Amino acid sequence: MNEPHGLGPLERSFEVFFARVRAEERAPSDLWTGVVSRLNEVEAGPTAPRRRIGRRAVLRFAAAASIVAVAMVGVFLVTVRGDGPSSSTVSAEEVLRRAVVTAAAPEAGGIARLTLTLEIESFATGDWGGDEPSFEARMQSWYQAPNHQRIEGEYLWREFDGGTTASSIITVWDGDAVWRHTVDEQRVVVQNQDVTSDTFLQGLLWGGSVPNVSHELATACRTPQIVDDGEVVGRATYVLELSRPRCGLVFPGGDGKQRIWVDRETGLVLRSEWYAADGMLASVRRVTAIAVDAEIDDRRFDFILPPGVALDDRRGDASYFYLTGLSMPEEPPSISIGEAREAATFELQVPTFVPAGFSLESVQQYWGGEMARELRSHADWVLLRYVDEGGNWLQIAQGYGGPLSGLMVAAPADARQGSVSVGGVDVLWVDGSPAVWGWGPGAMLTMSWQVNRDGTAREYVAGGDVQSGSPRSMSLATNVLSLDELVAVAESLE
Amino acid sequence: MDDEQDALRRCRAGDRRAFSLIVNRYGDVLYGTAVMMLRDRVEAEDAVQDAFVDAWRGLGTFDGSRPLRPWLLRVLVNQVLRRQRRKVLPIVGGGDETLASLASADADPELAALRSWERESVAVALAALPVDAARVVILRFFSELTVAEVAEALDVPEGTVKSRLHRALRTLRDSLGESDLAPQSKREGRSERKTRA
Repeated sequence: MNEPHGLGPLERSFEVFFARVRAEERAPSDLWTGVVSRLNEVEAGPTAPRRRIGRRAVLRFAAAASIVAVAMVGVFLVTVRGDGPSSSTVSAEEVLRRAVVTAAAPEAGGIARLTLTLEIESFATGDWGGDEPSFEARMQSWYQAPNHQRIEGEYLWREFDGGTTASSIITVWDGDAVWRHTVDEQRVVVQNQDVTSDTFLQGLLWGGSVPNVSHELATACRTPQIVDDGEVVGRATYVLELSRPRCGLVFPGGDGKQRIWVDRETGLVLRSEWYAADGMLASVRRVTAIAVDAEIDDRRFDFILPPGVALDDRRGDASYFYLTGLSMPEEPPSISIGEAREAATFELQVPTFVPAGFSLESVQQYWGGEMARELRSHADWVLLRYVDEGGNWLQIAQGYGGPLSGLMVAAPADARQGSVSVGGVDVLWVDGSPAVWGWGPGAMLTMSWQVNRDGTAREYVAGGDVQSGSPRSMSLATNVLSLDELVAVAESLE
Repeated sequence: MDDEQDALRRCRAGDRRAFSLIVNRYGDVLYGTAVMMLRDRVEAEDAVQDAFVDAWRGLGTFDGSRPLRPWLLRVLVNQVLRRQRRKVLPIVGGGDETLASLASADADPELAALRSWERESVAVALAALPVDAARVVILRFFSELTVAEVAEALDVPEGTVKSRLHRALRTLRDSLGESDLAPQSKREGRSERKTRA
């Protein structure tokens, strides 16, 4: 050891223990081969074949691919295709399904290429007593099936003090990687492209939700209704109103009803309006020009690194995407329960019972600054993680923006699921959820419920807080405990 | 180490074969450190591979007058931290990571039995530590870095390392108790019997 330290009983135990670990945990004999393989891929650049598909990658891919395939086939089979029946002969559910399928895979809507421009205007909900914070975006997008897209966007944040922040971002999905060039910062971040997403374009239009999750949320938690026929950029649409959500993950501003204008021919969402719980309009997203299947120069989907920019290459990481496709914020440090209680904007609940062998491993409070800023929403939640000596885990997530409850409604049809009463509250549980990300039955047991559904909650906006109605969720998940044990933990929360 | 200096010089000139010397020399300590921190051998293998790739690409920034081992461990720690950030994510939207982790978790009972260190009381006590504290203990006592090097590897002040170490050791002493902190000779005897040949 490089630095002398007193050899007390603990240190002596360390020496023996770590010597044993060193003897047992030796690098794999093919380490050098693996390193060479990785070097070859990295040095060949982004157009080269992807890194070797190892055991883990195979599992990831198989899980994701099978889930996506099953989901897409299932949804597609029940989808109404065609040129768009009149609103008198088509149900709201069918229109919604059509929109979801097209959003998730535009080819299913008959779209091979798409060029459009769109505008977004979002407003902070609440009484600001002065300048109203807002967000404006103008984007041009080129899409080519499958998995190729380019979005060039100009964004403007108007803060409540009247100040503004502008940003210009170019994002290119080249089929393999996502390149995000923040022009003002002269910075490019490149990540693996999420295999489960064909395009984020419709997510933008829809209002920040991954379409295949939105579908479940929309159908399970909102009641769709065709309220009108409409026209956007010369195209005939159904105007669909989705009721205020009864469950699932929603964001402030999305707590109220939504209206979407669904293109009759393709199922594309051409306009959406979000309303807050109090009925105020929170966001408008609209297509201002569109060309379906017009020729697009392939070079649109090649990202060429401009000279002088800093490249942050994250392709070595698996892509993890939060619901909206944004990377999760950096991992916060582990803190004490007391510190978490102080930091959180809600009353933290801690179990007085955990099954024998489990102990608290970490407490983390997520206040997702970047995510919150991008969503103009909150992400204040605390994660308690308990583990046993076998590496089994129990996680308790609670707070605003904790997403598990939203994902739970996207459980696969074959997942065991039900509800159970915990302290008089109906709690949804799912064994093997959430399906959209590739969980297998039996892989994880989750339970989730919401508190304070109609109460007040803190919404994050840049530079300040605002109160708005919003759900706070409690979610428990484990890889090993039984439902009874999970219920016992849940009932001990205080 | 002259051969190491020579290898580094050749690496900077683009000689990959020279880099194999570095990989072979430090592969074990990086892998062991990754296993201790991640508790997942597949993940650890990936982390070590990626760390060496990062190291190869970053050799130009490495000060050759300084020891290589702490620098490599720092590169590894960055890879580990990335993975640990993701590790909490399955519950919040990811999932494939844990699916894979579950599927790959020591399915071979023979292998699991050989690696019985994981069932040792020290391992259990380490696993119960907060992750920040565990990292410090592992880097200090397993990877054998100095306090200053641990600080550099974790990108925190030395004082933070010392206080984390102090708290961690106190917690470990409390959780292990006298019976688990047996005299050296006894522990070594136990260890030798269980260690893989």
